[in-house]
Amino acid sequence: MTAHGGLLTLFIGADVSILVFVLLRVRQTWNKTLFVAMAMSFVVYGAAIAGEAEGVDNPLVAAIALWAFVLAHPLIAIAALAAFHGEDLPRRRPAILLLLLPVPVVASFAVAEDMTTGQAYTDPALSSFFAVCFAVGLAEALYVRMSSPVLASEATWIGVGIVLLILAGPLMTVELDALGLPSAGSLILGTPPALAAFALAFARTDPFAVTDGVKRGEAWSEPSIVERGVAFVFDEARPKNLMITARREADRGRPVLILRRKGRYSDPGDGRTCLSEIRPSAHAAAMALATVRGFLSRSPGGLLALPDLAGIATLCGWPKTLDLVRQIVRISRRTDTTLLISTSLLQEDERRGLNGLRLAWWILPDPAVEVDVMLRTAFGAAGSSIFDGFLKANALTRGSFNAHHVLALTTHLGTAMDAFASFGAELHVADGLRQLVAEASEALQEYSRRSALDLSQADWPSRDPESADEAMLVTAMDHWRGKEPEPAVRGDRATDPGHSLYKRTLAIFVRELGPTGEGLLRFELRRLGRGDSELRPSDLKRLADRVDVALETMVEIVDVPEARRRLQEKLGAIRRQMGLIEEEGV
Amino acid sequence: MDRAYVKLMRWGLMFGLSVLLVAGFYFHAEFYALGLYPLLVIGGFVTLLVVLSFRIVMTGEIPRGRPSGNLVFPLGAGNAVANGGVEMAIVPQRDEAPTVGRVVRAMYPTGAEFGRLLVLDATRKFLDDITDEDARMAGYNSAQVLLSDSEMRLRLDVDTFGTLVRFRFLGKKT
Repeated sequence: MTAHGGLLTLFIGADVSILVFVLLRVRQTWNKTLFVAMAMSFVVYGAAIAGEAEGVDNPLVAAIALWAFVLAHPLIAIAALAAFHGEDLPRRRPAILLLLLPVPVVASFAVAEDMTTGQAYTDPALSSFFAVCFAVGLAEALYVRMSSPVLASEATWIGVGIVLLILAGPLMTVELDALGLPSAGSLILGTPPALAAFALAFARTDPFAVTDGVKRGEAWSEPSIVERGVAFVFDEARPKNLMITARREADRGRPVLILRRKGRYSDPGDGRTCLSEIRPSAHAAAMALATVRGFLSRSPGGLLALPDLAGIATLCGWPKTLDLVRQIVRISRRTDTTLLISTSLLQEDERRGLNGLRLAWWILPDPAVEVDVMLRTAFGAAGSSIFDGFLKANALTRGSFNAHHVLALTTHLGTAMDAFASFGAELHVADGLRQLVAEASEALQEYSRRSALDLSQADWPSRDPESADEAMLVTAMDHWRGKEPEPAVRGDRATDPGHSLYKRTLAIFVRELGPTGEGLLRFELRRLGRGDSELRPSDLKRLADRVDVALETMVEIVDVPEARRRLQEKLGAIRRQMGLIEEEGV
Repeated sequence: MDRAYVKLMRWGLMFGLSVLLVAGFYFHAEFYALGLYPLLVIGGFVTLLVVLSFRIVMTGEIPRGRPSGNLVFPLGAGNAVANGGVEMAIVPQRDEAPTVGRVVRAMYPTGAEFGRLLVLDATRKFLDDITDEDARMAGYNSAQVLLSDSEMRLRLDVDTFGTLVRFRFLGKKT
């Protein structure tokens, strides 16, 4: 084997190794195909030249070498653009494929003239064609390097690869010809590092794996909950409303892609939902961009949810993340896709940066907070305890509670209130409680059905000025069917001492336990055989003992240490206040 | 099995580089045609690449440049960080956390540096969402112990979330 042939074989071997790496590592079909075509053209060219160096003298071999040599150059440019545009390339830059058109003409001309590689580089027509190919790839790399923080690093590598090919190709060929050395195949000397640079760029812009991949389909054109072609920013502490909106769209059959870190926000519901895990990588933004492009090329008009934008920012920095958002917004407008972005876990300067993009910005409530307010409105302080009990029983936290848990919550409400009412046979109390639960459940269900657009109007229960504190003293009576508001609670004077004592005792119970307190008081009075106006100071101790037992039972229902402690505090407060009344001897 | 595979790869790559060197010696007569000065430049560059390649293959680490950023650890945590007992740090909400792939300095609150770290992963979490597993990686027995730690409370102050930075110890300061 000659030195020349041996050297070429070595470099061809390196090219094949890089080719295998790309075949195994790169996921994007379009990019993989282009890289394989480019690498194979180098390999075929190099093999043909190595064969000639070893004495193979066949016109066919020479023709194959020239064809592969000519084809390699437009493929360099197309592969460079594919690294930046991915699956979107045929749509974004279809004109680039026109570079392939002159290949048959140029190659046939070179074969007919029996040119060598050096002559091909010095021929005016052929060299112009090659120069255009290099220039297109290099110019695109430079443009992306300067304009896109997301792809800047990959653009640098592509640029370096093209420069190496220019050095090893036309420049080195001319230099070796001038020195009288064999120049055929000098391009191959630059292909291993150039292919390595391209492979690195392709690997870094490879999309994340997408589970439950959606097959290529027609553009989604059915009515949507959120407007198509628009990007929305959901300003909420946790992306709960965003996930609910994505879930509802998926349930309608709309293709949905959710990009998030592993183990987060993975409640896709039914329907055509694709989940993609953002892997820890310094190039997460570029990979996310490729993932989005791939999804939208298959499912235009779909919905893209980014509940974990902060996750990408943490991995590769905010400038790249912001550029990612800009690019995705452009793509979504072009493909009539809805984009939902969450501000969860963003820092203040990041929120400002996102705000600077002038996207539709919706401030939304936390369902856990709103549900807590609604429960406290209905049940007073006990409402929070009931909510905490539900969360604990279902292995949830306030952070993970979302609107789709409301159905289970209303079931829990009914069960909890049944247990509370069951320790007494006083039907009146049970009926009142069930009415309370039914109304609360209806309010919760109505809230859970509200859309993000509706909630963005800021009409939330927590913003209602008549929320829990006032309801504890006034609206408790309103929840009882057929009951008139007790004059005592509104501060009216009693007509007899027993009734006056009852009013004071009632005020204590309602203040500590909310509306439930009144029901409890009436229930225990019945058991004592007393009416409202028959209550005596000497009854207060027995009443306190009975309330003791009742509340202990309630504590057992609410299996949360904090809630138990609060209930026990309230019990202590009731006993103290009733003790004071007894001492006064009213 | 994995370590044997890595070792095999490493030895294979070193063998390949060695073959390349020997091939260069075999064909060295051809290089003289380039002339002294081009040979010095090109040959020097190629030799440098080979030396760097050997270094990368033998250390298994790509040169990562100067560190950018710091991670602060409690006094005395240096050994645990170096031995892998601590592999996660929590950066307060208001501070800029290092991104993945960066090399950062491992420092004590006094400002003394005790090593270099490679950031493997970074994720933001609400403090309520920090799990016991996260806490153990940060060198605490549980999430409750972590959030109760006086020094941690001082650093996190009124933050609602922090950045959990997972790292690998690269070695002492060089």
